[in-house]
Amino acid sequence: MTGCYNYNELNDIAIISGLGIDMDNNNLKISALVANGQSLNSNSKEGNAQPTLITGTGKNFTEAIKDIESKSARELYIGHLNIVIINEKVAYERLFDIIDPLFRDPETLKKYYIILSKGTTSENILKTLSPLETLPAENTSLNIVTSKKNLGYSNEVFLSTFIYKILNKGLEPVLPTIILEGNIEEADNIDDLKASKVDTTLKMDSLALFKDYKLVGFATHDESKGINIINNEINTLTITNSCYKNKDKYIVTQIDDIESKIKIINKNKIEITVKSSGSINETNCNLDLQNDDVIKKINDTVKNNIKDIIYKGINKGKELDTDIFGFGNKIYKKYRKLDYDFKNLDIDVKTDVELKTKGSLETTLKEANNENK
Amino acid sequence: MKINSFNYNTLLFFLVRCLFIGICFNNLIIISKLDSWISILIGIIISIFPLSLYYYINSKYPSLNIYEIINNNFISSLLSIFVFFFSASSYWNIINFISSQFLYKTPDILISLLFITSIIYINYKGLKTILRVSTMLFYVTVLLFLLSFIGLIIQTDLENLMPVFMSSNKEIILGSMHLIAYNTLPLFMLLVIPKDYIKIDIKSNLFMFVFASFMIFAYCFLVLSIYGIDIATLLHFPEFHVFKRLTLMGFVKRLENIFSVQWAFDYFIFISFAIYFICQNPLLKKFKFNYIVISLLLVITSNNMFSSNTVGYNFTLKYLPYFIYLFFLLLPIHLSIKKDTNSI
Amino acid sequence: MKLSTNNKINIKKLEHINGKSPDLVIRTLNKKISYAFFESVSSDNKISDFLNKALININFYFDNVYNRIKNNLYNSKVKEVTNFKDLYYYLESGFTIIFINGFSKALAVETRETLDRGITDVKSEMGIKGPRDSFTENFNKNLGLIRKRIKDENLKVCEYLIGRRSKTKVGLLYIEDIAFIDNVNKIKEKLSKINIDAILDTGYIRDFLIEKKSIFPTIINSERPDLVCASLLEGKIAIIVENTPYVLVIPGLLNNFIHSSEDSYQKAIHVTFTRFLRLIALLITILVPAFYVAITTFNQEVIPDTLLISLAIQRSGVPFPTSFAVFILMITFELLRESDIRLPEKMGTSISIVGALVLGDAAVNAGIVSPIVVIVVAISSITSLLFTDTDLINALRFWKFFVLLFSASMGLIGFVIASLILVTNLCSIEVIGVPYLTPFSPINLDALKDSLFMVSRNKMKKRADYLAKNIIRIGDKNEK
Repeated sequence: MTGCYNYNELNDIAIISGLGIDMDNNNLKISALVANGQSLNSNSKEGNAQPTLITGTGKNFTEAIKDIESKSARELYIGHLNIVIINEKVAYERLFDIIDPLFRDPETLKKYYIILSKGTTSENILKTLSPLETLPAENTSLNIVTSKKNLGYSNEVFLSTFIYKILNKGLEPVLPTIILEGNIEEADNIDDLKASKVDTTLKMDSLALFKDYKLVGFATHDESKGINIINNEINTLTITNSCYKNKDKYIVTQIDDIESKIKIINKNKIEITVKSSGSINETNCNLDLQNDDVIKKINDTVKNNIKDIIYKGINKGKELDTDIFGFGNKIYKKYRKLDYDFKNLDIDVKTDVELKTKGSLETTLKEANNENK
Repeated sequence: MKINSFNYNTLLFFLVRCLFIGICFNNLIIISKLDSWISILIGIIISIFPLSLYYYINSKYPSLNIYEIINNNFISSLLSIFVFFFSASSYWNIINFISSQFLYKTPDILISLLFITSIIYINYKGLKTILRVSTMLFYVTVLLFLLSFIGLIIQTDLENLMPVFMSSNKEIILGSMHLIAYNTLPLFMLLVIPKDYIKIDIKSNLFMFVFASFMIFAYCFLVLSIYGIDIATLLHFPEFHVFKRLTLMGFVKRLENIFSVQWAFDYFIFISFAIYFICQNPLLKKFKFNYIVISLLLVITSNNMFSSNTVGYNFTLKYLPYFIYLFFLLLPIHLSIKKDTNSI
Repeated sequence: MKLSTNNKINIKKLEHINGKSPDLVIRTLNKKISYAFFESVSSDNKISDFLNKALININFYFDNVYNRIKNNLYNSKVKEVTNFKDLYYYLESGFTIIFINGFSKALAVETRETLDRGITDVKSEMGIKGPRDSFTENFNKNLGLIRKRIKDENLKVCEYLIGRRSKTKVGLLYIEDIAFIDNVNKIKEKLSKINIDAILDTGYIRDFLIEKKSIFPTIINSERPDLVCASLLEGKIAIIVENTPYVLVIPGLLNNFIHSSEDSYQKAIHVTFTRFLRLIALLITILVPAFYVAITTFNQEVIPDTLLISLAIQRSGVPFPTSFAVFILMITFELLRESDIRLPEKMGTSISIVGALVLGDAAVNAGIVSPIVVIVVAISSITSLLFTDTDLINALRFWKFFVLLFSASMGLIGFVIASLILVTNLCSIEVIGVPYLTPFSPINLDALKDSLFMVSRNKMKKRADYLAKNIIRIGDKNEK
């Protein structure tokens, strides 16, 4: 009955859910996270699958994968790839050599996350991920990447989006980065986790900027927030201001709904309008929140804050000479020709903030306290 | 033998829709790039002319099929040989598609042998079965199309279609010509069914033609507006890859295998009808199992016709449309002009 | 062989033909009259009641005794016999033969014993609402159950005696101004050409009526009179066979096998939903095991990620390939189903426990199959039991294995090709000129109103014209 060459039983394949790519002298070193590795301490049917890590080296991508295959007992199956972690050294020098085989492979769905690892190798990051997946059905690895909702300076980028941005005229891609904090050696010890004392943590950091296929630089947190606002890829933004009188106390606003529109006035001038709405999360100042003037002053301050953040992002882009905002693309679509000077573009930013609610309280706590006295 | 008009219409539907994937879409994107959707619209409007030509021939000789109308053994054999090679190249196309996306380690000959057994079986049952099966498959195809359309139309980004009219007018018209060659002119093969067999209703035929062309337009529009022109030229079979973006309720993700069965249905009907067309040649009609021999010859030819993908796409881009115009357009023009020498 | 005028010669001949079987009773009343009957098929009460009462009063010394007896018999059914072949037929049917000396004709008087069950509940095509009487083994009772539902003068019955040794009564029913007369004549011709030893059940006739054999059933075999009457009103032809409680209805299209007769007795909206469920059940029965094998062995991309990992874990340690395990489990389920029919009720519980334990727990724990395979095969077998006709279930069983074979060798493409072959086969079946998949394939708008979905009865104004010629159904101005 097995007439054919594509026949693979489910337990004959090693399902790879993550790939990590590093440089090793001049060779590529690829580590594969196998989701259904055999675990040594489980009973037959309901045993958990222990995710295991296999590494291989080679001159190019395919040779490294073949090296991994020779070390694995089963055939590799990349169809359910979830995440690809690329080291920054690879991104500086050999990104194109990796993107081509990944895009060409017929088995994968091209919608897996790409992340850049900064300051450490991708192998270490995958090693930290693997003990967290005691129940591989939970997919905890993805939750780290997709929890950009509360960060503001991170992003989730699929391979198809990345290539789309590279191939389009006048648009350059960005990638999120991930860093490892803590002691690396103790990361893959499962007893550590059981004692709920984790010494190493994975953390998403700010964006990495690209020009064509090359990594050109990293942005700080504020600059990444600005870039995300212009690209409409931000979910929430938290702005902290110190009080006017007391510099140790803060008023914190959270902006939830940010929408930015880019309008092209001519080839040298662009206008960005940002509309947002939010609420006040925390105020330790002595402010009368029911006074219209006070609210207006808070509004203005937050508006300027957002404007500053956006200008920081734009300046970073201009400094590294990559148009990650897509201005060139929009100019090409309007004027049918791609000649513009990115560094000297005149960008005018208008922001508008509407602070709708103030949480559950109408005024500040201190005020109420004062009244009672 | 009376054939229901709805069955005939669904056969028309599949013949129009069939050759779009792979051959025609590839040609369109190479020639008219981002304005392919404009080429399709213009092509639909221009194809009124061949359609009315076919209808005129069909009503002029209502009880004869196309071989009897031609009445010349040499031209009939040429016509049959051309249809044979035409269907061999389309068979090559579908086997190429299946083997590159689904079973890439299996040798092509096994897949083509398996596919041809189903085609031999339906030819064994006869023309009526072809028509009834096309109606049943029509329901499934329309359902799949509606699901994919609703799922994908949300993800389109009209900005990808700008800037409009970047290709010159000449390229747009050339694209329309390709579309007509591959999607309207195969309806010439329907002339093998004499008009007496069917209760023809010109309005419903036209409606079905417009519906099928709308489907083609929708696929082209979706691919171009989701992917943009750059990725669409990079990818092999972009209309298949666009299904990878469909999700059902957010968690059932990999539906492209299920939605691409509609192309297997298209080619199934097309190739079986083409083999029926070839076997109706008066020279071949005498042998009893002619369709088995023709089908096996088709398999052998389509496997060895093109030595590689590039040669095949080159041939269908540069040379095949000329032959199609010669046989499927010039021949009917000649038939409609010549005097009515045929009688029953 | 003709009868002679001498009673003694006739009786001797009768005993010679019969070979002195113990249930042949011959009684000679006096020199003029003797009578004979089979004790096993005649009712003694009736004989003693009617016959003796009638024969006592006859004065035998007058002329024309024959006519006087014939006119004075109390029974309603009296026949004259002139040869031994008919005489023997009537004897076997439970009649009493009266021989009158000096006349070469004999009288056959009906004194039949009822040797059947009486009208009971339907046993195999269950329903909740609607009438529950079922056909029996008696020809007249079956005919009566139909006649009391259709009191139309256009209901015509033709009777045939088929079978050289069994001489079974076979009746053909149709409504004259609805059914197509060509079809009726075709069936009549086929029935009259049957030359066979004996007809014991409708199954014997079925093969003679349909020339082109196909795997799917094309003749409906029903036990319910209301279903037969509804089919007659659509223009179909019914065939009643003596000694069996099943009635054949020709033609049977795929539509009819998926419906149940009580669809007509419920609200239209609920029936539509139920019919969609049945269509899904039909697809699940044939396609699910093959689809499972295709996606777990060839095209693993279709499965969502998390499910794939847990399936892979369950699969470890199982020695057989998936397709082989599915195949074995399907055979086991078929064995279970077959044994269920033959099971007497007393042994029911222990066998079902063994079956559940063997197939469920033990096989999984022993590591022979993985648990998900058991679930898949169980789902497909249970949904196949949704249909009432065993022929359809057996046809589906064949196609299940066929599609499994193709998809085990080529994955999803084999699955698609096998379903294409299935659709081709379905579309090519024709029953007396009507395609099997009407009203879907040659589309027929009037019949569509009662096919996959059902509109309420006051909107179904016309009969479908592929079977019927008088198409007005509900009272309109033109209705006679």
